[in-house]
Amino acid sequence: MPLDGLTILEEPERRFPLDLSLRAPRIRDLYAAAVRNQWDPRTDVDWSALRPDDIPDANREAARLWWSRRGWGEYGAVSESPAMIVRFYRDRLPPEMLQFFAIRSQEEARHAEACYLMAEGLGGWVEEPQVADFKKSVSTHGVRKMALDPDTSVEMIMGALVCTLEEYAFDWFKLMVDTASNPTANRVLRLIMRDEVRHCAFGWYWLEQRLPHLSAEEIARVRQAAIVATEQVELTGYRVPWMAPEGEAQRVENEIDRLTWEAGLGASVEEVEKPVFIACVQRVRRRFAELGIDLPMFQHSKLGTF
Amino acid sequence: MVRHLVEKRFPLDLKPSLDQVWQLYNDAKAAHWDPARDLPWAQLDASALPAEVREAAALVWSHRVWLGYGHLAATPALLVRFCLELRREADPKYFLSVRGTEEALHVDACVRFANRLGGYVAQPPDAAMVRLFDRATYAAALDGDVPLEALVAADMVLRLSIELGQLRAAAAASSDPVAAAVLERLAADKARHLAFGHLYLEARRDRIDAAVGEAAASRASQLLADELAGLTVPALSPAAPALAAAYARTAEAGLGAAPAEAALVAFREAVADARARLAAVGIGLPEARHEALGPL
Repeated sequence: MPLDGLTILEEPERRFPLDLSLRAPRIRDLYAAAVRNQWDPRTDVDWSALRPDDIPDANREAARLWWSRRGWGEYGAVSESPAMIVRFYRDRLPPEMLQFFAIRSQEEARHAEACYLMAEGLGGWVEEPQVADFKKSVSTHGVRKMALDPDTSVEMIMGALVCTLEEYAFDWFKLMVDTASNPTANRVLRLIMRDEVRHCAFGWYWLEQRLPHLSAEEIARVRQAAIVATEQVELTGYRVPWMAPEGEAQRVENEIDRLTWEAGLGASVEEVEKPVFIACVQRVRRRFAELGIDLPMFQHSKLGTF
Repeated sequence: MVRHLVEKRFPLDLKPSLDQVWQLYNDAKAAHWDPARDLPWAQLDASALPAEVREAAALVWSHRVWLGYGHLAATPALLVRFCLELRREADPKYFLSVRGTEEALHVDACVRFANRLGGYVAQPPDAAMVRLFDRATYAAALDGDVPLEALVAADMVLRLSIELGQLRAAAAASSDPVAAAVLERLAADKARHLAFGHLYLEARRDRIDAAVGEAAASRASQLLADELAGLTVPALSPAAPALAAAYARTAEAGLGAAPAEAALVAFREAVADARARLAAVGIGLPEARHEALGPL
C-alpha cells in the first residue's frame, strides 16, 4: 500500500464522460484475437493420452507436484491480475485494455484449471508446497498491490509484470513445449503458450504507445520496476525453484522438476534452461533498449552476471 | 475507508465443490460468442431509419454500455474478493472469470450497435443520472467490511434480476433482428450470472447469520434506491426525461427497448423474485415504494 494508506479504492468514481473511441488499435486486435481463440481444458485436450499408469511412480508423483505448483502460479494471475482492470477503469484507459484483460483473466483461470486437471490425472492436486519455506517464493508477484497503488503507474506494472516476468515465462513454455513428450502435457503447455503470446504483446504494445508521452522521471520508474521484478521476483524463484535461495525447499522442488522433465511431462531443469533464460533476458533488454530504457546486467549465484 | 483484506493463498483448493456452479462455468465456456461474427450486423440498415429514431436508439444502446461498463470493473473486483478470502470455493472464481469476459463482450456488442445507429453517446443527457452510476461498486467488492454474501445478494441477485428482466422485456418488444439477437445473447449470459447468485447464496445459506443478513439487506436497499431513481429503467425517474423519451421512441421502432409499461411490469416482477430468493436464504429486503409502482 502507498505510504498514506490510500489506494485507488478510496477515490470517488467518475464514470463520465465515458470515452469508448478506439485509442489502442493494436490492443483492440489482441482482444479480437482472444475472442476468436478461446479453448476449453475439458474438451480441447485429449486426457486419455496422459496414460498415467504407464509412468513410473516416482516421475508421476513428481509431475503431480509440478503441475500443482504450476497451478499455484497460474492462480496467482487469477487472484491478482484482475485488479489491473479496476486500475484501467480508474485511470480511464482505452476500453480495449479492459476488454482484453477481462478475457485474459478467464485465460488465466483456464490455465489454472488445466494445471489442476493435469495434477488430478497424475494422482491428485496438491494444495501447498511440500516445504513451508517455499510458500514465500510462490505466494505473490505483487501485482494486486501495485494495481491499487495510485503512486505506481500502469506503465510500471506493465514493465514489471508483462514485459519482464511474462516474457521470461513465455520462453520457458516454449522450451517445455519442445521437450515435453507426453502428448497431453505437451498439448496443455502449447495451449497455454498460445495465450501467453497475446499477454506479452499486450504489455509491449502499451509501453510502446505510452512511453513517448512519459517524462524522463516516469520512464526511470518503469525501468526500475522492470529491474525490481527481475531481481526480486524472477531471480528469487517465483517461476522456477532452481533460482530460489538454496535450502531444503529448493532441493525438494528441484528434484520434482527433474523427475517431471525426465518423464517428458513438463518442467525444465537448470542446465537446460540457463542458456534459454539468459538469451531471453538479453532479448528483453534489447527490446527495452529500443524504447530508450537500458536494463542493467543482472547477477545470480547460478547464472553469474548476465 | 476501505478495509483491505490480506490474502493467505495456501492451502489452495482448486477442486470444484459446488456442482451446479461448476456446471454454469462449463455452460458459459461452451456458450462463448463473438460480437463481431455471431450477430447479424448486415441486417441492420440504419440509413433507412428516421434520424430521430436512430438517435434515440443510439442513446438507449449507449445507456446499456454505461451500465455494462460498471460491471467490467466490478466483476474482476468480485473475483479478487473471492480469492482474498481463505478457503472460498474454486467454482465461483472460475465462473466469475468467464463472467468478466462476457461483460466485455456485452460492452463490445452494445457499442457496435450504438455506433451503427449513428454514434455511441459518452454520457447521460440528463445530468441527474450521473450520480447513480458513480457508486464505485468495485471498491465495495474489495472492502472487507462488506460481507461477500451481501455483495452477492445485492449486486448479483437483486441488480441482475432487474437487468435481466429489462433485457428480456426489451427482447420481447424488438422487431429488429439485430436488436433481438444482441438482446438474446446478453440475456442468456445474464441469466447465468443471476443463476450464480442464486446458487451461491443457497450453498452458503448456513453461513448467513443475522449480521450478514443485515449487511445484505442494507446494501440491497441502497441498490434498490438507485434503481428506483431510474438507473436501469429511466421511465422510473422524472429526472431522466431525455433518456426515457429515447426508450419510448426506440421501443416504438422495435430497436431494442421495452415500452414503459412493460418495463415497469418487468421491474416489479424482478424485485418480487429477488425478494423471494433473498428471503429463502434469510435476507429480508426492506420494503420500498415508488410513485409509478406502488409498494414493492
